[in-house]
Amino acid sequence: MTLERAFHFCSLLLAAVAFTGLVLTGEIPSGLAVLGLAALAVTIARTIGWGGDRLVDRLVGLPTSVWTALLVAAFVSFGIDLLLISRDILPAAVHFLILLMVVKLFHLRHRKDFLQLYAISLSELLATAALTVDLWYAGVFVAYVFAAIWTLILYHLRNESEEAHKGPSPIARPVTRQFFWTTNGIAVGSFCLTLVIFFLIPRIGTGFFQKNRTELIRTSGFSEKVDLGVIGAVKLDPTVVMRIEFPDVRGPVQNALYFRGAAYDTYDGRSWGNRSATRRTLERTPDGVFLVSTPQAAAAAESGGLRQEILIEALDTTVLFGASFVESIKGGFQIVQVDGVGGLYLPFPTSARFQYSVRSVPDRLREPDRTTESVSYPDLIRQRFLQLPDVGSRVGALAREVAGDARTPYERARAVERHLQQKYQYSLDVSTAVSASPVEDFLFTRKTGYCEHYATAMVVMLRTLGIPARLVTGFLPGVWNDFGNYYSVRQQDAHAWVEVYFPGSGWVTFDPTPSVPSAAPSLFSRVGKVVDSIRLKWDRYVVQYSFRDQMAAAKSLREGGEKVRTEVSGLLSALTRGLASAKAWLAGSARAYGWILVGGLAAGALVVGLVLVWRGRGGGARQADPRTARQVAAIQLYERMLRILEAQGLLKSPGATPLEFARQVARERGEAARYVEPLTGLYCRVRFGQAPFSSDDDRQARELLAGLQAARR
Amino acid sequence: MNSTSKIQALRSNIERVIKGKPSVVEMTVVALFARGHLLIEDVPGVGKTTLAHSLARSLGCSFRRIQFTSDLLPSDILGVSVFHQQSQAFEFKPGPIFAHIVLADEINRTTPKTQSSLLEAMNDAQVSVDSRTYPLPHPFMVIATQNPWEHHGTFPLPESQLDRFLMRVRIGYPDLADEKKVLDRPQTLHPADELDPVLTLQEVLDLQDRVEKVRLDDSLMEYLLAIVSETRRSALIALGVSTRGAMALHKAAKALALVRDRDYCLPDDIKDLAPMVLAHRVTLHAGPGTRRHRSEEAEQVIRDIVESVPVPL
Repeated sequence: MTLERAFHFCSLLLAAVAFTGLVLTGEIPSGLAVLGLAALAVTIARTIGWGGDRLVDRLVGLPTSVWTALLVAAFVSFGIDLLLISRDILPAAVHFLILLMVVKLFHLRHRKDFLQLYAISLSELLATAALTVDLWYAGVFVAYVFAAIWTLILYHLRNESEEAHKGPSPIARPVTRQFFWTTNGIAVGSFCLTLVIFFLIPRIGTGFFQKNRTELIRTSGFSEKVDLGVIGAVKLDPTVVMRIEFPDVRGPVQNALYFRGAAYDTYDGRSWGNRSATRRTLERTPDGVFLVSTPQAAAAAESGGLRQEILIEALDTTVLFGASFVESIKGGFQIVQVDGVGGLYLPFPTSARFQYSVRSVPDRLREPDRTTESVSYPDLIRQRFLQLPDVGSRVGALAREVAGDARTPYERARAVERHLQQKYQYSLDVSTAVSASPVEDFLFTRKTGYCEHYATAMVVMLRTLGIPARLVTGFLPGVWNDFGNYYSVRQQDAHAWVEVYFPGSGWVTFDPTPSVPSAAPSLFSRVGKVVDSIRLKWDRYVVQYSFRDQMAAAKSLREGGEKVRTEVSGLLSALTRGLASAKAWLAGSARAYGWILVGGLAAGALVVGLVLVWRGRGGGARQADPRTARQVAAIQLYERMLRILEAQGLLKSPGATPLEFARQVARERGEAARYVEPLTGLYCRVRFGQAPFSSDDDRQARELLAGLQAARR
Repeated sequence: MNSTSKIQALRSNIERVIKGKPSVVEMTVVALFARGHLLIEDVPGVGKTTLAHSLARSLGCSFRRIQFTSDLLPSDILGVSVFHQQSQAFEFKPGPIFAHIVLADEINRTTPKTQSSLLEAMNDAQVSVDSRTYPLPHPFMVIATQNPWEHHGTFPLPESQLDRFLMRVRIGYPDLADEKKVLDRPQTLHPADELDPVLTLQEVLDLQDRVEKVRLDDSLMEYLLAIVSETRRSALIALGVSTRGAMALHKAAKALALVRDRDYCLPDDIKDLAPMVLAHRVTLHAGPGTRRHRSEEAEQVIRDIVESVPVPL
């Protein structure tokens, strides 16, 4: 492939990579996507020489005025799109970009056309970044960097050769393997440099156009009113809703975890709801922590609680999840509300995934509650959590029968829980049609059901026994990902369970649903875990990378520096006290400029390395200095010979060739010829023949020069 | 046998017949390997025909000679379609141009029409007769001669037509010793007939391909272009060297490097070739002198120009 063709091909490839990214976002109307892909395909095929399609040739041959008219038409359609169809600047601009690209693809004549195509492809890449946060963007970005480096180097070469020849002259030199690898090396280098810049340049906030268009995941079971049976509908949905890390714990958490979402106090026979929907805004401490209960309890949680980092996807609910029971919560939000049953809410839904951290204290039943037989509940609790719909008397009878001779409320609750776990079949095959009295249906007729049926039945049964209870919806931990050390929670992990009130201990979690055996881990699920953990890291360290992370990184770097510094200073003081002042100065400057220095040095070393590679390979630098190192060495050698001869009165005229001059020397000073001839031969071989210039050659040449110098008359 | 010894064998084979003219033989070989055509400008009887003949014999390929006269027609060169009685169809009878080596003797004595039919064939390596195209054999080389001393009844080739020839050389009289050797030879046999082929056609084609691979450093490319652009700027020259001329010099330099047993060009290759490759492509400003003088003068102008362009270090 000649450079000219390679240049064309790379320019089109650049546009193709950027456009592919845009298509992958799925935000492009299919018509435009097909148009763009078709235009790219035919132009690339034409460049490679596969299809000498006559139609394309005719299109390419259309006069400039036609293309200008098309551009104007595209602009007009942009206006219409903006005002009437998309009604938003970003999609309208993206559609306009695609039209521009298609027009430019067929109209690449001058240098400026190529530059415009590059600008369009860059804009497409930026638009893609605004439209997606997915992992594949990393691939598109890397491909774009490589294609861009190739293209820009070829563009530069082409420019230089045009200017050198004063007018358009096709560069017919073939693309060598060396050229290919050199450019790829540069691409890798600049990609690393970009990474350094990415992590070092201070973040000022989210992008200007960063409009998160991720689809909200529909959840069930967390709205104000929950119909019985909604959770069953999502029990087979593998969509990941959140990922949970435990910074203080290595490996999966041993005790049973329930990630609590919403809780409900009122059951009307078919659906759950809350009697009072009033929400209280939580107090925010100066460090941005929201305390759910009293500061004292939160302080206790600080020492003994379970800390969780939760990355939650964009859900259609404002509920904040956390292991039961959440004591404090911290994240990038200004307001957190809590309702009367302990559900935590944001004031409005977020449109993007976000991260927050939570501290929880697990529920613990205190000893008195376990043994006390007669309990008096507070009025507020009695009013709200003993409410019963119109259920038949059979439920109450069953509850009493199950409770049997259990005397304490705790024992009764456990008895009911055990009874439900053992006597009823877990199954998702329950008709979604809501019957008139689902609880009775479940308890007496079908005897099969899933978590909601179990939990609702238990709450109703406990309430008939006079024990306050409520229904809670949330998630089970899901699958432990041992590559990334986190739980990935999916829609199918949605769950409903029961909380029972005890005067001394508060609310305690009960789960009447029998545990379902989980599937054995297969190879596929292991691969899935690896991919999922990479996806989490991409989101954590690239998409969500923030100023806070930079500060944390800088801080840890500085702490490392401090540690090194103290070690060094200890060593120094042990060696001598006389250097104390110098040490203080060193320490002071290290403190002030520590991480800037490290970053600067790394970037500098990278640049120097790149320059060295560039010069060493010589391939990419041909336009700057076309001569290789050994050619330069040969020229220096020859020039030294000429200087020696000039001093001896033999001057080479500028128009004389090396061989002519050697003959002239032989004619005029025969005794010098035996030095000049081999030197000229070596020079010609290396300078014009690119022959190797070995150290032997170098030594021999020096001897010859010395001999020539000595052969003075 | 490697390429060097093959080329050497070819040269010495020809030099057995063409005595005392090593540089002319070298240029002939260069023109062959550069896929070019040769124009020999000289008086009759100095061995032009013999040169062409011995080249053809050394390659063991077909050879035709066309004597150009004022009444020669294009069909006398290219061939003609005749009606075949039995097959009831036109049949193409190829002309003398369908040979590997064609000697076009005294090309300036025929009409421009006939001249241009030959030159078209040289350029395209094919012949079109009656809207059908016939490819010429491979390799194909025309060696044309013209006598600069004749004026009456000649049609000198214009410079634009001369451009088609890779180079123009003059043979000149041999010196006394060499002439004596020529006379000493037995006269019964044509000297070229004694020669045996030393190269096959395939070997010639391979060597022509090798020429493409000869390295020409960027600085030499610039040197070559500097020479060419100097011819366009010189006050002595009315019309400078065309791009085709630059391409011809480029190619000939590579072929000369190969003939001189190198796989890279030296400035010497370009400098030695420039008068022969460029002189017939320039038009000097009108001045006194016969045509012969004019071509010698042009060669001198080119030589002066080459001498004035600095050789890259």
